[in-house]
Amino acid sequence: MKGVMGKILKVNLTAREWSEEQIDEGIYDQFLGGIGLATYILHRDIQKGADPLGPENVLGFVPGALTGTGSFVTGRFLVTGKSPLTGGWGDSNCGGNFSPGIKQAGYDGIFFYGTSSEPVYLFIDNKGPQILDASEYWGTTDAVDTEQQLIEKHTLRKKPVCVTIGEAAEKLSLISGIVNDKGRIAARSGLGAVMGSKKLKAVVLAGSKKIPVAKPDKMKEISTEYANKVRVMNLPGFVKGSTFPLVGKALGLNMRTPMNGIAMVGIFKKYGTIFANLSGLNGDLPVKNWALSTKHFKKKAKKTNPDLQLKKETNKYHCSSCNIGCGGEADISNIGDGAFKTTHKPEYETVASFGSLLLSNDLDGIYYINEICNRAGLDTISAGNTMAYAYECYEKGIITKEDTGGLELKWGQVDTAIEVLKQMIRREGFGALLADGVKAATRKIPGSEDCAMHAGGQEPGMHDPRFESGMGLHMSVDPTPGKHTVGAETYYMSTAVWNYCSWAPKQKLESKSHEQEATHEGAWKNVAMSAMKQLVDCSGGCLFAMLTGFNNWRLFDWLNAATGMEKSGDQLMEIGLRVQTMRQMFNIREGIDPWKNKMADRVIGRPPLPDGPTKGNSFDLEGQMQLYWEKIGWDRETGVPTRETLEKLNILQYTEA
Amino acid sequence: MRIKVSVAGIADHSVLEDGEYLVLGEKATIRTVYSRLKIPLYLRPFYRCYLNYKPAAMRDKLKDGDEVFFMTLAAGG
Repeated sequence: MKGVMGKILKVNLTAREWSEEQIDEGIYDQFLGGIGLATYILHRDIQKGADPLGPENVLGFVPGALTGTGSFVTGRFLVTGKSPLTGGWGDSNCGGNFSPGIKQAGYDGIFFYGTSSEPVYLFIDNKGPQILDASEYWGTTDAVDTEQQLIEKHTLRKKPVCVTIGEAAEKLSLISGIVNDKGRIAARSGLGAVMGSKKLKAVVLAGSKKIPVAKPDKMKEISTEYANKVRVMNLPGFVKGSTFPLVGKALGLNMRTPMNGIAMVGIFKKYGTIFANLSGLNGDLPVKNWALSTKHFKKKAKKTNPDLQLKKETNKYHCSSCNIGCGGEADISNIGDGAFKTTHKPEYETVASFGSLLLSNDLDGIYYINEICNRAGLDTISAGNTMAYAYECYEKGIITKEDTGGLELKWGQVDTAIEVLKQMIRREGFGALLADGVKAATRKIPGSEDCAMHAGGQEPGMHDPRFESGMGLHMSVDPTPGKHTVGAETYYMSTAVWNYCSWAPKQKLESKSHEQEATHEGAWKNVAMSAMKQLVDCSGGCLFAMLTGFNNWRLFDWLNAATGMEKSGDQLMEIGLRVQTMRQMFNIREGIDPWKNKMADRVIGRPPLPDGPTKGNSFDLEGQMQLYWEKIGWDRETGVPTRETLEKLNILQYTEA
Repeated sequence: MRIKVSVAGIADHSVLEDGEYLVLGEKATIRTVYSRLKIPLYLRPFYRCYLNYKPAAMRDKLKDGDEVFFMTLAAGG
């Protein structure tokens, strides 16, 4: 099969050896690449009951089958392993420029086994892999500076690409991630701690191997069509940040309709994700540890106007192969103590998790926190949720000044959050109680369970299921729970997946009110959402590109043209179902009860909010979970994939343990 | 003529066949589409219209098989 390199690299850190493994064509046919390939390798190589922070865990870095093939917006990679945060399948998706570097090094995945006795990093150029000493960086150099120094050290003709970990991961924080491109982060699932446990400080890639493509002319044709569409999608000048609440409110909040997703491009080009700072006032934005409606943040939100963020932006940037370019960099040399010169433009997720979730609108403080987290390699979503948890515990008297070392945790105060955050990263003082996220903190702070918002141990992304129940469903049924990047009704309606997959329901014009009920059609949509997201993650694709619609971002056609396969939409979607089921089977093998991944009651409207745009909203999560399980072929009572499904997807042999 | 339309929000979707097609007379323009969809005048500034993936003007004439869609601003992140 073209599009892929045909082999993976396996690095044994205990023995400081490496080897290559050729991957059979049949495996690519079943799993494609990216996350699919990782499910096959990790099922096989991680033993049941493995300690996530022990040498028996396997940490994988995988690009997608489309990465580096000339397709657009397919330059993302996934980090995979057994999650120390959830105890189950862990993956984390990241952009930047690292992904094609894996394939240019000659591999469809780099997998780390064992544990090094001393800090090391992996360097690969065209001469092959080397495991090198990283002692000078360990405990001394943050993720951003380590990357810069290693790139300078290894730049010859080609500038390498690099992933690193910071202090949080070195100290095994269960909410730490893996950093690349000066502060992008594969943040979710706590996989930074896995890298830290292996004493692996960085991976530096400087290969230049050619990536084979089956039908380059066809690739070019599809890519040109997408480029032409993206090029003309620009926001009109009158659209300012301040129009987002009005537009969000005015535009059909009570109706669902199919929409051409390409229309989103203009917003992403100009603002990136921060447009949601204000459009989220329609009920999507969580407020005060998910306890209040957006009504209580409306006035404060003005100070998080996306236009204020654009004023700080010094330049925009694109991830590898992206022609949209939602990223930006900002000058923060005049913020706080001036410790940092620049930071990535904080994403909406960060602005919300350290903004509305703490009842704060201190944008400067959020920029400062963003850079602290990026350099330490801390997940801002989990860290923000954990901070909000601590603030609520303090408000309710569950913890006092005696516990916090004299710090007053008052809603709206970001300065205190900065101090606590630094303690969390260093695992010192009060911060040590919070360093591993909310679930771990509840074990150390008795009586605080009701303040802890998580699904299966992972804190939720900043999109409120009371606004969109599909978000809550996917946060609960996905084998990596708590993630906001899997599915939601807003995502579905713009994908046009029904044009490619015979069983995916067509989005009709309909009222949103029935979405809170468990319906067969809703369940099929959610199953399709899961399958297409896994397919995107097999390909190295970006969620935002998926939202521009498969009729525009022609993933299905690109996959066939790049690989030489001739698979129908249904056959490609079956790969997505296979991967989703493999991920679920990993959890089942590890003894995880799928019901335990259910999102915290408060987040799903139990009790409902008494006011605001989502007033009274709650939904039948259990019923929706059962219908989802039934449609995808998992037992509707237990969430365990049935034997019939495993046989149908031809994965019984990989999942029997 | 029959054109494909994608529009979110407070438009009159009841005029769409199969949820996405609009049947129009021969001399129809983009203005006709706004009118048939009953997009309120005060909201028109918030809709950006594209004809066959190019920015469209009110006076642009339509032909059978054209695709018209409107840029809308929705929540996400």
